[in-house]
Amino acid sequence: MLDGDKNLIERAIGGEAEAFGQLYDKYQSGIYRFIYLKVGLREEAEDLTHQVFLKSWRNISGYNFRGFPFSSWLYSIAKNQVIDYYRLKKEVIKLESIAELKTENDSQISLDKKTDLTRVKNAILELNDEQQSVIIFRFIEDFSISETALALDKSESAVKLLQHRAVKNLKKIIDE
Amino acid sequence: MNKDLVKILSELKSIAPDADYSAKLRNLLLAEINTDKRTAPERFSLADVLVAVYSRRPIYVIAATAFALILIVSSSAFYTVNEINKHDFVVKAGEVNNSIQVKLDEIKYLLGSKEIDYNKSVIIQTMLLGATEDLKKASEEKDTNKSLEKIKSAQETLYKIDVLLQNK
Repeated sequence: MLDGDKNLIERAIGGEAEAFGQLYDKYQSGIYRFIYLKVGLREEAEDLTHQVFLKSWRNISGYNFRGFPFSSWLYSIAKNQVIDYYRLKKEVIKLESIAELKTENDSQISLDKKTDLTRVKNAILELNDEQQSVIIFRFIEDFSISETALALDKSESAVKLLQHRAVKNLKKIIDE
Repeated sequence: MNKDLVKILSELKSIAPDADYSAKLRNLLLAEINTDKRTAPERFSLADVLVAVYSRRPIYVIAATAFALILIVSSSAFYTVNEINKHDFVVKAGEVNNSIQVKLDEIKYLLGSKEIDYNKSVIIQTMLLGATEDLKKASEEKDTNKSLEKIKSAQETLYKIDVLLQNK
């Protein structure tokens, strides 16, 4: 836990909205990315990200400093939000309907590269929930094995195994 | 692992929400937070409730004690029982604890205005004891899903109490 985070969290628990706003600024992109790569639709990901932060604000007094980082706590809320989303939606999103990938430096990315990115992103969507999470945490968010284990509530050896299977499946899907 | 794939994956880090929309959402979030703060009832401690209760009817002592039990048991249940899904438990714990706090505030208010009749207070007391029992079982249950079912049941009981309080 970073000291800055702890201070912001304590102030947010005390009811200071701006402190929570700063936590939002810090973690919003990561949470959005996590959700977007799981639902594949930009607007839905934005709405779900908003819901995650609203929910975390309403439950922030239940956050426990000891045990796991604030980011892991947010990701667990995001994970549940995505599960609820699919439970309510009850329909499979067809890959064809998935919005075209948009990135921060969209105009600077070549067509080939963009095609590769879209292919990989669509392949991630075909993985199961845990495999998606491990790919996102390890290779996109650069989490360590131990951070990933905390975020997924798994042992480090389980994460290594999960990562091995996820990468294997991802390559298989891409090569199909 | 294929180096190209790792490289492409790391490039997915550039995925970001639309900056304008993101700023709007931030403002909306802060507005909702401020609305939450304005509409949230004044918080009372358990001691406040017990003092108020003692000065009125003894039946409420039991009700307030049951609330205290729920608070204690639910906290311990969520934070100690299940190491496997502790993230989910913490989130769920926050929701239930908030529900309990709201009920405490409401009881305090209703005691002040003497709006609850004796029969209703007995029913509420029974329901509270039921919720306490559910949370106690949740704390003893090894199976995560069964624990969550008990927690959900306690939460539903609180909602029913809420309905009773609203139809006073």
